[in-house]
Amino acid sequence: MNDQNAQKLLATVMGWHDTESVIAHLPPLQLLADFKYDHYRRFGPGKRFIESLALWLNQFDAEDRGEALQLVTQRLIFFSDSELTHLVETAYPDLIVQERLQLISEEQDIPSHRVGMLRAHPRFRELELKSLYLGLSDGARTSELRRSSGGEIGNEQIWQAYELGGDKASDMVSELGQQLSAAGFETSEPRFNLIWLLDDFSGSGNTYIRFDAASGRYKGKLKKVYERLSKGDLINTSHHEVYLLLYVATRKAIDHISYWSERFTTEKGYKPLRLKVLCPIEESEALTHNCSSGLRSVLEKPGYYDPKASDKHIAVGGTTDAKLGFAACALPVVLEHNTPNNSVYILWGPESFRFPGLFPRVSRHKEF
Amino acid sequence: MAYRANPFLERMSERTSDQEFVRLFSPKILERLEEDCFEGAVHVFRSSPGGGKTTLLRAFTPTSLQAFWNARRVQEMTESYQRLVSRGVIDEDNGPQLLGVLMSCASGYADLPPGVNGRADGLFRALFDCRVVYRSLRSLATLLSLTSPAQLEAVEVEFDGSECDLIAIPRERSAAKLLSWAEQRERSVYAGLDAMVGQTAEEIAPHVRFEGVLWLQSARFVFKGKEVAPLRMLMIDDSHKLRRQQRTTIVEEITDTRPRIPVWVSERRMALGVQLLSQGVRQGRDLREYDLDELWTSGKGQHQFMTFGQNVLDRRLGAQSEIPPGAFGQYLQSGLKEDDVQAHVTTGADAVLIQIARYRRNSRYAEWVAAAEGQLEHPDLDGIRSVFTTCILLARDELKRQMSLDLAPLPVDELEERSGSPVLAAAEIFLHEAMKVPYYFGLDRLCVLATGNIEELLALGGALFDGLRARQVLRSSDLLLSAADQERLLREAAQRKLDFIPRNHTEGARARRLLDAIGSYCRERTFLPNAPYAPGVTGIRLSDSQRTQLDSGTLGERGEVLTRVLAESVAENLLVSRRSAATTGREGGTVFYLNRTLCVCYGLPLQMGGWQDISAEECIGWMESGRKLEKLKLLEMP
Repeated sequence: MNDQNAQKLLATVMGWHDTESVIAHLPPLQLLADFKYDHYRRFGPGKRFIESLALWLNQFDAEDRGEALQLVTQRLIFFSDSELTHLVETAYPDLIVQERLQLISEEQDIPSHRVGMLRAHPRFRELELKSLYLGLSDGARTSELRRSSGGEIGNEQIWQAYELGGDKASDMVSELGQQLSAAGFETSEPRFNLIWLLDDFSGSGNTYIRFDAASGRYKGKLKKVYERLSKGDLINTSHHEVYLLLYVATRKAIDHISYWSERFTTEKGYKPLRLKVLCPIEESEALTHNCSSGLRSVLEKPGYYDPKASDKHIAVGGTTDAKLGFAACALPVVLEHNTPNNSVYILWGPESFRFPGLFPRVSRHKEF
Repeated sequence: MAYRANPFLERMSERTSDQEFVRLFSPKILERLEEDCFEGAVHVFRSSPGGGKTTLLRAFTPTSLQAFWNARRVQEMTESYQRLVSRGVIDEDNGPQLLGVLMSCASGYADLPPGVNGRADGLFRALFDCRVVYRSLRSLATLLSLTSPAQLEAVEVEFDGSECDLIAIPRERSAAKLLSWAEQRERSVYAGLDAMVGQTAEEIAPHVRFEGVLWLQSARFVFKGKEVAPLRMLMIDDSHKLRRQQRTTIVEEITDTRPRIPVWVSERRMALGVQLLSQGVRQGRDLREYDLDELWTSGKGQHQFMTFGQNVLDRRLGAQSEIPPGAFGQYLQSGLKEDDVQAHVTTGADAVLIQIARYRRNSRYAEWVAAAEGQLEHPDLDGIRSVFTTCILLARDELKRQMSLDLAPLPVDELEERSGSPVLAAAEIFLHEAMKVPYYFGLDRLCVLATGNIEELLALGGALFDGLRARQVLRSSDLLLSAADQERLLREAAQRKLDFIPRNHTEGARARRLLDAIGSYCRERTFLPNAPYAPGVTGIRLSDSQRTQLDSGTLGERGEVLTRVLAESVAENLLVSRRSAATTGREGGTVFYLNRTLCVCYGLPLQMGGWQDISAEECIGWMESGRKLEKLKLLEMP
């Protein structure tokens, strides 16, 4: 849609009849659209942010449109591709390397401020080679992380999935042995010592670890990872550290993962998980916090929801409907490539549903 | 990109391409330049921020001159091109003849260590000189359309005999080698400054005088056997970024060399500090000063600024595609229509009747009152304006009448005789104050609001442009901003300017209080029923004796602070200072007029003229504690 036509449509939907309202709202919205929102992956030529916003607002009752627009202009948190890339690029030098230096400092009893000495220590190079990076989803951006390491992460140290078959594991270990030999570290049984699990976003933490009361078992990716690692063909089971690096995570997810991973690893006798988050989203950002009555009414109105969204995947989060998102996280978060279902439904409702969201989501799970 | 920055808000002098620059450049400024601006001397251009200094300098750089030359056949560029030809800057057959060397003082000079000995000055000169050589040769390369500095091998530098004075700059014939020398020299200066041990700054032979100008004026550049760039001009931009001592050194010493080429120096008025209040522009043979803000606000400059301003606005409008291009003024309603104001007029007519009624008892005013009441029967805009004029004249006559026993009724003809343009103008602002009839609208008033500053004009124009874009979105049948819309947008822009002052100035809070106090005081004096200072009061005056009190320190630290606040306000164009000559009845003084945009915030008229004397003590009180804003009620509205 032509830009000006989209603006006119928005003005019509919002009932703006005076220049003041147009000047107050349109330039900032257009700037945001151009800077970020137009790049949402589900948008394309002919349907970008302003026109999507107009059509989305048109679904609301007239008296609720102002509230909905205010949600977009005041509370929405949109992570653009370049912002996430920036986070990934900072991960290796600012976090992963720093952790390694800290480990060596403790191990070798070298003061942590002696950075040059730590970096020059052979153990630094050794641990660099003995680090394994596993992506927990396709959002982990493993290739970007590898590139940002400046060549310090080799191809055989990083993999975009955490479920490693025997052959793949064997190849990685073999390559590790060659790398260690080339670097002058002799070992008969090469194994990884530092395991970095990578992912882009966590809203509730349930995907990584949760306790299913019905079956009395732990579930989630971390469980699978630890079970895989415990086989001993990849890592040195007596001397290793496991890190979970999330580029963005809510405080709720951080607390959930910290608590349940500790319980899990303690019960199973595994090495504790070290959780690192580059960009935490605090509780105050959730829409349940500091929520006006108008916004609450909009979020909970049945007319702005499609019950089809309440499926078994939502039920895992402990709620019967998804109006406030998975596990009632009530987030106002959108990622450029997709909207997490932890956000409120009115933001991510799929296009095929009765009330499509402003940034419609594509689900990971097959829906029938 | 769907989001388009407001083209009126782009700073042309710094960010636009050369092609865009020449398209947006208005040649009207060249008309205002004195002929002798291009003579050999130091010419200092001062203004508040956004006055157009850098734009003016940039117009004479090789890249801009090339762009003017290349665009000479484009219709909208004709005027600019012809002006440059008439100044001899461009030759119609051979292209640009002037080598304009632009140097900015923004980087490096203020970092040089200060010092009480001559060594610091010597380093400053050394750095300045090598940069003059460097920038001159790079500019020459641009003028000759050389694609890389290496091609300067083909340029020879010859001298006219006066170069024997040169000591610090080598008499090198190869332009390429000279360029290398300049680069190396600059590195050496900084290496010496950076060294903590070893080589010290003392090892760099400091320059005892500015040789850069001498070199530039005596060098002849020969390219492929032909002399090129016979005319030269050195332009030093942003000299306010130098330290005070450096600024003084550069102006005084270059002036003393009696340069044969024009040396243009631009600086913000802020650089003068409190001296801004006391010194006027200096004119001498070798040093001339121009205040661009004064250029546009005094004498015929005001009218010329309108032409200049309109030209700039039209060009900015032409640089975008959302609104159809053309004259910016065509999109602004220039006069009031009856429909626009009928509601105001009808509502206010009753209140005016009540005001007029109290004069009914006095037979002297019978005819005037009857005429006014007749006009109020079917009130229209002209009629109500005329009634307000009558009210003012009634109030004036009533005051004078206290001295006389004349009871004869005043004829209606006399009403017209006494209705001079100041009274009519006062009636208009009274109408605006009492009935909210739009006043701040139209292209002419827009230019007046800018107070001679082009950046202010563009900021206001930008606000109106946003209004036009909004009208387009609302699918308005005509793309014309009504008087009411214009006034609302301009008032918002003015309020933003006022609100920004505390954040933008070193004495921002005090300046704000002082301006608010002046504004409220001017309002009180303007809206006296008899409009004694028609069309209104928009400034205050400090007499010479009050100024002496301030300058002598009699008022202590408070007085010093006031002087600083006034100086900064004048430097930033928040106040416009004018000398008021002594008369038989009173001594001379300095009038401080409010910036015209700020007049909108206080509902004041835009003509410059009316002012009131106040004491320095009173001024200090306003600055420290503000002034209670009196609520005016011109009319008792029913």
